Amino acid sequence: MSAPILELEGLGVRYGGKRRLWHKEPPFDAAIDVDLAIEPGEALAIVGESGAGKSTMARCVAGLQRPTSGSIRFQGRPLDLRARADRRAIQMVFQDPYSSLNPRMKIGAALSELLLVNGVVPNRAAALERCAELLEMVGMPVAALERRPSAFSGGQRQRIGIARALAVEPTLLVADEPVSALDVSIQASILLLLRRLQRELGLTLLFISHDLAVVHQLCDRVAVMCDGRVIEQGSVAEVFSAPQQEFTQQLLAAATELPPLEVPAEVR
Amino acid sequence: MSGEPLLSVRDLRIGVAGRDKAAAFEPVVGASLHARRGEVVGVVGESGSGKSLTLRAIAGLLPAGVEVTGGAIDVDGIDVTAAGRSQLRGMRGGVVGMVFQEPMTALNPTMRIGAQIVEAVAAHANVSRAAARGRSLELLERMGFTEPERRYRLYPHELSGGMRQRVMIAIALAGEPSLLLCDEPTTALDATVTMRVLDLLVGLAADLDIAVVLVTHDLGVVARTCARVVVMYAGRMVEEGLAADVLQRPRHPYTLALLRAVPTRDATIEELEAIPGAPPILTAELPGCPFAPRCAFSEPACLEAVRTEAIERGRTTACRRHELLAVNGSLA
Amino acid sequence: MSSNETLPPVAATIGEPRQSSPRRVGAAVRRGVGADTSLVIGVSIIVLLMLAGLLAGLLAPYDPSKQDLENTLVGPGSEGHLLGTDQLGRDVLSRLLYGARVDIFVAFGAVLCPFLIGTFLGLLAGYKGGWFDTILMRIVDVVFAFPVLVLLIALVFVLGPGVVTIIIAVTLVDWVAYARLSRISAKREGGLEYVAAARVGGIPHWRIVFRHILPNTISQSIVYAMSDTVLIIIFITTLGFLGLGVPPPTADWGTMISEAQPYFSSHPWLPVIPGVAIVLTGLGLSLIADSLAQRIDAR
Repeated sequence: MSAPILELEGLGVRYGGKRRLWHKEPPFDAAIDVDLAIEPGEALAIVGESGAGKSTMARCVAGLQRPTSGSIRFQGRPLDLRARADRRAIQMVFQDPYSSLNPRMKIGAALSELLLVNGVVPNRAAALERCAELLEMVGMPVAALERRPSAFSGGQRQRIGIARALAVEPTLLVADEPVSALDVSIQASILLLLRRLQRELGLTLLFISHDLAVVHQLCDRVAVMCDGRVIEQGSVAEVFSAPQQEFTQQLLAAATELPPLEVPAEVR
Repeated sequence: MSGEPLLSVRDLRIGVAGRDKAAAFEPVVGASLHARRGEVVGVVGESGSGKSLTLRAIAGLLPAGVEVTGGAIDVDGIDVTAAGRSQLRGMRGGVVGMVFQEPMTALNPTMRIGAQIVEAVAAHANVSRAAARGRSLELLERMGFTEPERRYRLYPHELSGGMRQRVMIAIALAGEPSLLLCDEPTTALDATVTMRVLDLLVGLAADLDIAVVLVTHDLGVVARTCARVVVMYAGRMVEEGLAADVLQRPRHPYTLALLRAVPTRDATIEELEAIPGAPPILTAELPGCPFAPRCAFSEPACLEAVRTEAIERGRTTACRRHELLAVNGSLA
Repeated sequence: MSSNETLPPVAATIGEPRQSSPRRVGAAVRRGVGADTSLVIGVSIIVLLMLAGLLAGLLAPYDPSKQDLENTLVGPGSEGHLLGTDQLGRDVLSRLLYGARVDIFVAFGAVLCPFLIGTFLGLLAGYKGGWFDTILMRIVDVVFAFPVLVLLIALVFVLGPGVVTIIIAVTLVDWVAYARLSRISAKREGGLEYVAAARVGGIPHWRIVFRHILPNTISQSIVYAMSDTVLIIIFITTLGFLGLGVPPPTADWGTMISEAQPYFSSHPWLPVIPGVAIVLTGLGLSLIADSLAQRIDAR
């Protein structure tokens, strides 16, 4: 078994606790002593309810949040996001398709900016070519390059968001509840897209979700968080069939369950 | 469950007046549903299906510029489409209670929750303050709050999302309505909390003998709570029937496609199927079935006219080829 | 998931609207009404007044400073003087046109400096936060607390009356409003996910501020600047009224009103005509500001 691509050790994020004029602000621990490891090419899910700390974890890994304790190791070395290489290697897909794209920038301009700033392409012409390729990878028409985000539906914007995350050729993709804000039938297409891309590009995926049904579809292993701590981890099969913690059992019980479909064999 | 439906919506059409003739369109082109006392009826559809507008039309709460252009809405004998403003106001709260999606914005952040429930009680019944307070505490208890006296004095921001939603339901029930309309009441809540709120709604329908209409995009919610369900797509009702029936033996290709696209606890990603294409643009008048362009079973006749058929008692579908989906039916 | 997925036309995608259906539908109705008419009227008024000022040399029948002591206090509509003459025989129409130059152009100039400086500082403070933000906000609080008019009059006394003095004085005091506005906008915009996405994507901070945040926040400041210009015009005319504005004999609407003081009841047109000009300017700018604000809301 090769070395894990990402290792979180004793990671903690604490807010507050500062001394104010007349009282001491109580500290709030968004994450406490988190230990996680992801193998290359694997899809690990972090699940929990709102406030469990899963988004905090995602932001720490992507470099948007500095942990107040513990360490993150990426590819065996301590994670240094000021280094261009590390920054490019970890990218993120965001939750809200309506605020994760700059409303005033055309799609082509936004993608090209990323490509040029990071030196992925040498010039504007090459950037446009690569933008077209990226859009094709996510199933969007090339004409989208000339439009602004307002022209697109939520599902389409998420595809664009995924294209953006892939632009700098990352090895680890952090997806923070990427389908939670989408309609049910659109969720399916985005999940299938993520699955396909993960396979084709050999990406490692850190998938944050509150929906266990979605996790079951896409991920190999899952870590359950509650109040900032990881309370259970294991392969999806294990955790789903034999949950150890009561909270995990509650989450499972709340996951979408539908009666079996009865349709004629020809239709299946 | 008593016989006559408390709520009866027939062939509802809702139109938006645009700046000119060209910009006008109809987001709802034919919605029908019925609800009896003691029953939970689900209206399920995705964004743009018209389900929220239909609910608001029932409560007489359509925004300016949007109005009912056809069909009938009957709530316990009141014709909502013809009712005047004051009649509607009296109806709301007294006959019809409404629960919205975002409890934080629907509750007054500067008032204690107990006071807000009392306000709702007093608006619909001429009772003393003590009686109103007593009723509020009673409602809080019914909502499953332990220590109702303590909760009574809390402000909305001191409660969790699930608790706020339960307070919303209490306010909606304050006027003792016979119909409770819920617009995505659990969408903003965590999964475990959702379960508890849904169980509460089901219990209320039975205990208080009221009709509950639940609008949602989540089929799991429908499976958990609804006795009957109406499926909407692009402003039209496409299927209606007992929830167990519709979810297991769908008779409309959209319902089938939706069921296949939902990630469920037990299914794997290989079984997941996205619905190709996108919902239609509603500015144009579509003569035929709006789902036909994306439908795996469509034929040319589907684009010309929609035919709504009653398959059996209480089960309707808007698909002319529904036989294809019947387990024991013939295959064309 | 084919590449042949068709793009919907810009405004009409009903598939997944931004808000729940009823609200979206209501907003679409509201958008159509009102904004355009106000904008057209407002812009027309301002353009007309600006042209009057620019072309004053061509349009004015007389030299605004030329006195004609034989024809003083002639009423409007008299021969040779469309709007009459003042107490020194100077043609009111000519003074009005040349006055437009001072009031309108100086006002626009005087609003530009605080706009630029304040917006820039506010953006930085809102985006970066930290000590820069704290210090800037304390400075803003101090400036706000000063009695503005007293400070400005003091400055005018120290530096002497004139256009440059006015601009400096206004800039020193007015930048704070823009700083506060752009700071709040920058804070709000900076919290949105697309900014986080840009940071994860390795875009340098300065680029984020100017290429991403600024374009999305500037419209509010522009709307405020419109209303601010009205206030500055009033301020310039007040200075003129107090005798602290542009020095005589240059015409400006405030001075015209001030000099007409002794004649308020006997020859009312003398103060009223420049007064109407001031009101008209204010109206035009307010209409523009309102319609711009409506457009921003509709987004």
